[in-house]
Amino acid sequence: MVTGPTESSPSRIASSMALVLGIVQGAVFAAQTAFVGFCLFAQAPLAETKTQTIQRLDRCAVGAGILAIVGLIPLFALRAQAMLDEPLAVICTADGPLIAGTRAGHAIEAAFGLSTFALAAQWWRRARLLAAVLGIVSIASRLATSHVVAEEASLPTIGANAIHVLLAALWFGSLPPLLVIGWEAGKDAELRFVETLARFSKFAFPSMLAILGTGFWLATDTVASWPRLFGTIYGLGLLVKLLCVVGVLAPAFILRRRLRKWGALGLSAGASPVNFLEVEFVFAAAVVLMAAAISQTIPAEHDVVIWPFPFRFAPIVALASQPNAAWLAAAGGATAVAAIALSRLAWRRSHSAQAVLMAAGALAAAVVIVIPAISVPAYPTTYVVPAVPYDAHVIVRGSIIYRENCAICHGKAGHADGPVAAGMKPAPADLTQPHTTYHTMGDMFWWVSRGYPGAAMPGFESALSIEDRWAVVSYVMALSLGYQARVIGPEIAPRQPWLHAIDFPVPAGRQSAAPFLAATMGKARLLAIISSCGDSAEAVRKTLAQGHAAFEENRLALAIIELASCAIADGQTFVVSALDSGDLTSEIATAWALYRRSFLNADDTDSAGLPEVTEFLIDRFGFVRARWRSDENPELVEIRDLLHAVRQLQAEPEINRRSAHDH
Amino acid sequence: MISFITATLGVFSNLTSVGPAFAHSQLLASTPASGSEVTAPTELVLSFSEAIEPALSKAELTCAEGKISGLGQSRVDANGKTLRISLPPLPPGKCEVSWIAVSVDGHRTHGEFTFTDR
Repeated sequence: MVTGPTESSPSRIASSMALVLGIVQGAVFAAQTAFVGFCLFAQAPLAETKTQTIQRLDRCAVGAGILAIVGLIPLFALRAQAMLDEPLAVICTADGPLIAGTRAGHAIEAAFGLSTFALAAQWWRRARLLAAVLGIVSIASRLATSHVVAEEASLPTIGANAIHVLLAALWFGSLPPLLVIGWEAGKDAELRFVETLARFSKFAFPSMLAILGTGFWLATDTVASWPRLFGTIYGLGLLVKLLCVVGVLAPAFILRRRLRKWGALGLSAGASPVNFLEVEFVFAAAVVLMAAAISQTIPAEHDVVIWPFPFRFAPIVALASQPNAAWLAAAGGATAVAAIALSRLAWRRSHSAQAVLMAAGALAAAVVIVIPAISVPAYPTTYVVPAVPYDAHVIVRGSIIYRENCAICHGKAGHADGPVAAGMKPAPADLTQPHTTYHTMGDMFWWVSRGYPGAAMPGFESALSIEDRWAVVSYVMALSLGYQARVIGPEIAPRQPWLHAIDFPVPAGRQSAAPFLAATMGKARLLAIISSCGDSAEAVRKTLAQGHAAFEENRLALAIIELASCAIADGQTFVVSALDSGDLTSEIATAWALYRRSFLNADDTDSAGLPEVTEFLIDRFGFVRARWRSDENPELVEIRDLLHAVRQLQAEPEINRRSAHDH
Repeated sequence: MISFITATLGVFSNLTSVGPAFAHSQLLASTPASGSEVTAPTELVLSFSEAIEPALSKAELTCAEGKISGLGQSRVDANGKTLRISLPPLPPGKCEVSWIAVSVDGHRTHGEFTFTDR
């Protein structure tokens, strides 16, 4: 039932083979990095190392190099299978050359060729440095098919990804040779091994910091939000990887501290640096496999979010809408403060585990008290992006579905005054009140689909299609926003974009129609004028005549929706759209009429309709920022005020992200 | 605050990220849009999140009278992310678009959506 903008999914074979592909990819990466590590450590072992150990490192390098090359063969086949969604037997014969011509195919071919040259350099010539460089280039060659490159991210992001991957490769590739050196050293040479580790630490520590920094950069780009971290396979995979990373960092941290001590005082009895390294390697290998597995999933930023918890944190909404929330929050805060004070006192008296446990217990109690105070109910679809555009056609369709299915309880205009509402307990929700905007459209989709918990409202999952349920949610949101939009007037509230403009089609060419807001997002500001014939049309004509050049200069596009053919736009070449009368115009006017209300003309009975002319100023990010009604401002907007408003909007950065629908 | 904590967690979770972060090309927008009602569309435009392989990415159209033949050759814009297919005159009614996209990193996705021709 959960659905995003459109139904899209990995192919059937790609889904079933993703895990295998991830494992093979991780194994190939591990072999490639180990090859580089063995070559480098054999070339420059960091401390005095036995000839026998160096020979062992050389042999291990050859083994890792062979594994990498052999692993690339099934990786190529599996990748081809995933791309064509055909059984292996088919793609090996018929479509193999087609895959070879793609970027992914080229990347694997390049890795194969470079790895072969690297192995040859190491095996026959013992040219370890050349082999290591070729090995690194082989790893780097596959960056050409990375997510950030495919997405055409900014150059700094692509650079951060390259640094991140290559440093991680060097760090991870160093662990196998270090283990071999440690195992070979034996008890009599452990101090020399400690010296090797200390020297390696000088490289590893800053590398880890760089990996951390670039990881921060890339994670914010890929995951982007809490819901995506917990509500997508990719995000959950990252959390599991996080646990593995903690497993890597913990022994690395302890080992680094002890290296200083061992370097100064010598190894104590029972101390074994190799054991720490073994634990670190096991977790590092788990991280590699997790990373490879995650790489086969849809990136969190593009996936449908299925929220796994029955609540979500929304402190402002919770405090505004839930009784006793403020008291609970205060009690939780006081408990937390008391817990910290008590545990501090206990710690001073005796540095015992009991003090730590006491603090942890009290903090846990504080969290349990506070969570209900700052959270609201949530559902699997809470963060799902609507499957339909927020446009006039959808909203009008939603209004029809609403009248047929919802008005009997919620009332024709949403005031919870439908024919059967009187006897209902609890009463149906008044959809014109601000509480509607406390919920996400995904929340409403869940209620429309499954019914409202603890109330008489039924679910319409079997009665209405997914698109129809989203349409009715869009209508309810527009209806509610319209009542909140009474505050919108001729003056712009600086840096407060919140009222989502309703998209509408404009003619693109002679026959087809394209959504206007979606096409101009981030580019032009828009003055949408909804007009019927009347005296006020003269004011519009006057504004247009005065402002022609200034509109073009300030990138102000005009959309004139004429409810009757009164030719407001005659002779105005800068007019983007002068729609003919008809169903389309009627739909746009009907949908936008939901945003007509003001404090002077609240029209709670929903009987007045649109004034002669209404003008809406929409910023370049798709939010309504100002409105002029001809019955309240007979002259409508004057050119001077309009240009002032446009310049004010021009100075604003993107503050609210329209696509989130996070009302 | 939320984005800060997310980012902080993200740091650790990506700490030892290895190999290129592969992804899948997702349909971000389309013309005609999903669920929209349009008049005699002449072109199908599919915008994806990532660059796609032109030879392996395609779309089909099925309307009330069945599968539409005579679709134009699919073209990919210079940005590599937008697939364009010119359309023959369509019969009025609901049409379903079935698309397949193979991103340049080698991942294949597919999906469907509908629009209505007035």
